[in-house]
Amino acid sequence: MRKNNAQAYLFLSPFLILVTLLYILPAILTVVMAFTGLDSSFEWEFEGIKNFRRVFRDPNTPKIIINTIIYVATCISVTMVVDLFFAIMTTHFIKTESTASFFKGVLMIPMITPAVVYSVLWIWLLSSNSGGFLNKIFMGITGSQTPVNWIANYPMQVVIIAKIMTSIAFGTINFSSAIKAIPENQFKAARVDGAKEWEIVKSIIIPNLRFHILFIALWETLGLLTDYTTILLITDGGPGIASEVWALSAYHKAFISAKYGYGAAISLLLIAVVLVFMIAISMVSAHMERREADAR
Amino acid sequence: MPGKRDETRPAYEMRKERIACVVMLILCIPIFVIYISFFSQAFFVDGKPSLSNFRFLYETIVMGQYTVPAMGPAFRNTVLFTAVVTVTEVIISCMAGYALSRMQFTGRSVLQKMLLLLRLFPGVLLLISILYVLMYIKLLNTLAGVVLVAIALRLPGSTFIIRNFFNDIPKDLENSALVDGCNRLTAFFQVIIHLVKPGIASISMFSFMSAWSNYLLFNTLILSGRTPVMATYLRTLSLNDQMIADYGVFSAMALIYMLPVLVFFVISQKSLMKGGFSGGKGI
Amino acid sequence: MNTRKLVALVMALCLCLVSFTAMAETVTLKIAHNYDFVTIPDAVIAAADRLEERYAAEGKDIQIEFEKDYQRIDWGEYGKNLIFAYKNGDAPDIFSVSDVPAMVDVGMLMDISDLNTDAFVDGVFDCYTVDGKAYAMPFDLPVRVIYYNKLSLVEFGWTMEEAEALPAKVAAGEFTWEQFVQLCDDIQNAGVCTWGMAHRPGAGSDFLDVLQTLGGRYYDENSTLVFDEDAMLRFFQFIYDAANTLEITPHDLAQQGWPSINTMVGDGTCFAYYGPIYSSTYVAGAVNKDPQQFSEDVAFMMFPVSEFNEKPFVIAAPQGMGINSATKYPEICHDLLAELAAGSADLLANHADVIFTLSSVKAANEMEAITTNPIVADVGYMAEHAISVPSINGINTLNSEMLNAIVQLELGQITPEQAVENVKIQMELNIDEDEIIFE
Repeated sequence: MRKNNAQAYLFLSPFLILVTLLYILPAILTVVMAFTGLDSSFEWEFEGIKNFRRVFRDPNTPKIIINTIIYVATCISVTMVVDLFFAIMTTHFIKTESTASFFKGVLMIPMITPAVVYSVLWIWLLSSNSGGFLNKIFMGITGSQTPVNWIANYPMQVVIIAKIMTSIAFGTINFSSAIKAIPENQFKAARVDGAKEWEIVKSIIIPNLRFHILFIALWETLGLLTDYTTILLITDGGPGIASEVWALSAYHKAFISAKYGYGAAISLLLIAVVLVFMIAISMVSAHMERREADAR
Repeated sequence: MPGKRDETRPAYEMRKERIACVVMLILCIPIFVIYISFFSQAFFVDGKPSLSNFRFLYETIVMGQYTVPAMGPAFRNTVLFTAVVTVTEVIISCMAGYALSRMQFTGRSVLQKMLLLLRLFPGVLLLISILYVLMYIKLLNTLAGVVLVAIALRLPGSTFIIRNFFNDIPKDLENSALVDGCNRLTAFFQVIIHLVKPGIASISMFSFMSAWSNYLLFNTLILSGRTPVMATYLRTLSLNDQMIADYGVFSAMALIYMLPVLVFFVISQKSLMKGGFSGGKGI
Repeated sequence: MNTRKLVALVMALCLCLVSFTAMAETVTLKIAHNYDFVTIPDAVIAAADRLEERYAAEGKDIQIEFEKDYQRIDWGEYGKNLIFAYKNGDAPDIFSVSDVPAMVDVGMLMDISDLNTDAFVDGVFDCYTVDGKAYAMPFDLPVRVIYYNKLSLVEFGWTMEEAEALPAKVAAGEFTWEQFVQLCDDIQNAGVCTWGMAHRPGAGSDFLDVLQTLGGRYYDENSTLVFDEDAMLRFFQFIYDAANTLEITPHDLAQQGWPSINTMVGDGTCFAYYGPIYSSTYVAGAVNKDPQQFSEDVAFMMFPVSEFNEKPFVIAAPQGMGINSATKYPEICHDLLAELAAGSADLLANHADVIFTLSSVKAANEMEAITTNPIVADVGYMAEHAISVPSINGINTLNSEMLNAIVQLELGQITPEQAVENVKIQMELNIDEDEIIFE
């Protein structure tokens, strides 16, 4: 086909303008900013690597790193297991299409709830007084007289569970369509051999889904590392820094303490980690595409 | 349980399905119970059924020392924002996706690679510098500015999805249109757009959902209280250290806020489940 | 009609037009405020009507209108937003100030040193003064005090006279901080109250008052931030003990949120509380009491003497408004503030009455609204003991780091020594070397 630059770039221009202005330019700016002492006085004063030294001298940094690892690792491992479970339930066991999509619809409810409402729902659910939803149940079962301040005592657990609830739907539905794509004759052959359901899951479904699992796991990890809205709205990183994660600390430094340079430096360090995951995802998805192409 | 019985399936499978349904139902009950108990508060005042929690719809209400403004402007802004973002995002990503999929031009492969990277890159990490860029182009603190950022941050993902849809359309279809005397533009609008409808449905759904519930962008890029949207409006009433609204009023407001999402969700649930969903985040 | 006549006619018409527009000159001012005390910006808006009349008397016909922007967000975010809006060129013309040093730093506040300061109570401008220039006008004179429940004391066995005489004893230096803490503990142990002492759930200067009671200082004569390590350790030790040893403070207090704390203080579940006196509007509101009823239950006292502090004291913590240095109408904004300070002091008196405090303007304090307010009447004497704190760079960072430490101390997650170390490192990291003194 003949090259037609004018026409092509006409089609591309809105895309290119927006992406350059609000993706590429900010990316460059972030790198520059990370080496300045930019704060509320708005002076672009170059400070070399001072911001990065600050990050590593900060006694909170280890705690925040540990929090981030716990948050991401727990969320990701639980989400994967739960996703697989629900996908198998709603695809392999429940074959009636409308019933399955009803259940998948229910699983999607937390995902479609706007974050501002979702967070209050949790705060209400875990309310620290004796009239709180969970406290009523808890005090009813244990007979205890003192209500528990759930969010204060278990901040990490709370944000992890809240986050997992919102991410179940995405993986479940992806796995579900991947299970549907497994050729039926594989199952038939297994049944002829007298395989139990657990063996079918173990030896057919999971091996077939391994790249999907890897992809979704990496994808969700990327999301967990960078999306801090749930934590911001439920605990705001507290109490103290008990549920502060890396991305949220960049937000706090920049938008609450008005230390833009410092915040940019924290973001930049995270971006370095994120890049590794981006490369990994690209490799996995390239591999998947190749497999799909081969399958055709 | 809704659904047709598939008569051809063996009995043991049906039994397993029934067991699975029961298990799923038990697991789904907590979600139902929590959501229903939360939102039912909207219809009760002091334990008695009442609709007075919905007063904010037509009047300002005083809660403690705070006068809660009527919801009107926030709702209007949210509708406007969501509509503009969704429509513009779909148009721009279709144009770019089409060009990347179908046209030959200098720099194509570079752009393809860039798209692959950008769709994975989390734009929220750039928020600090985005704020600066908006300031320099004089769009900080305006709805238009947030519209641009909301579109830009989702654009690589949407373009990637729509490009894949375009890739899947056989070239012959388009060529025959071109041969029939259509030029590129008419071919684009008449034939191709029609063929990628599922893709468009998919990105517009996700664009709608994310625009409607976006909080973070408004929190960081809107500096005054003069451009409220539903997310910031509700947030004002439920700050971490002080829940202003009682839960009755809040859940009434939240219900109004979620209604369009729920309607949209019910309508689009089917296509959301199918190809559209995986496309949503772009596999 | 000859040409000359025509020209004359046109010119006359133009003149008419010009004078007409001059007559109807309308000025729209953007006014911004955060949180609940809207009587502050409303006083400005009310003063505008009177200013219009005064202008009219001088022959100037100016209509002043306002675009209100009253928000409810985190104060830090509010201040940051204003600074960004200023940089963006669309900051409000007149606004409630927060973090004055940062605002002065970017030059967004107009110098209003030429206001007639004689009309004001001595020292109220201190917290808005940077390098000898005043950058905002204080609208009130709230003091930060200790709240205590008189009814609980009576239930504990004191007579009502004794309970009501406590503030005077404190003012005379006859009742110490140590005794007061002991009292909190005793009342709780006697089963009169569930908790002995509470504080705000968020960051704020209230904690600095306890630090000062324990002999600490946090600024020097040049208004530079000071990190007083020994006193800080004493303070953190107190916080730790209060929550974990004496157990007079709930150890998850900071996560309970304002409504729960306000109710606790209002209904006597908690015996004592320290914070700004205007918080009592919330406390009274939380238990549905009017000021009169509320003042029958709860009383206020100064921060008493202690082993480390020789003089009882209270800190004045005014709230105020400043003018955008880039406003198109500097004279009008300035005249509005001047109007409030002079002829319209009643508007400030009204504001002070609503939030239960003294006014920053002398004339307002003589007015009936204030003299008959049951809560203000009881604390009027404190004005003589009130200390005005200057504008201190970095104080917000100190406050928020202290809160972080307090939360962890109360939950028993760190020791006071670790808390001092953590806060110290944070201050070293986040404050420029020349803006803080470690001692």
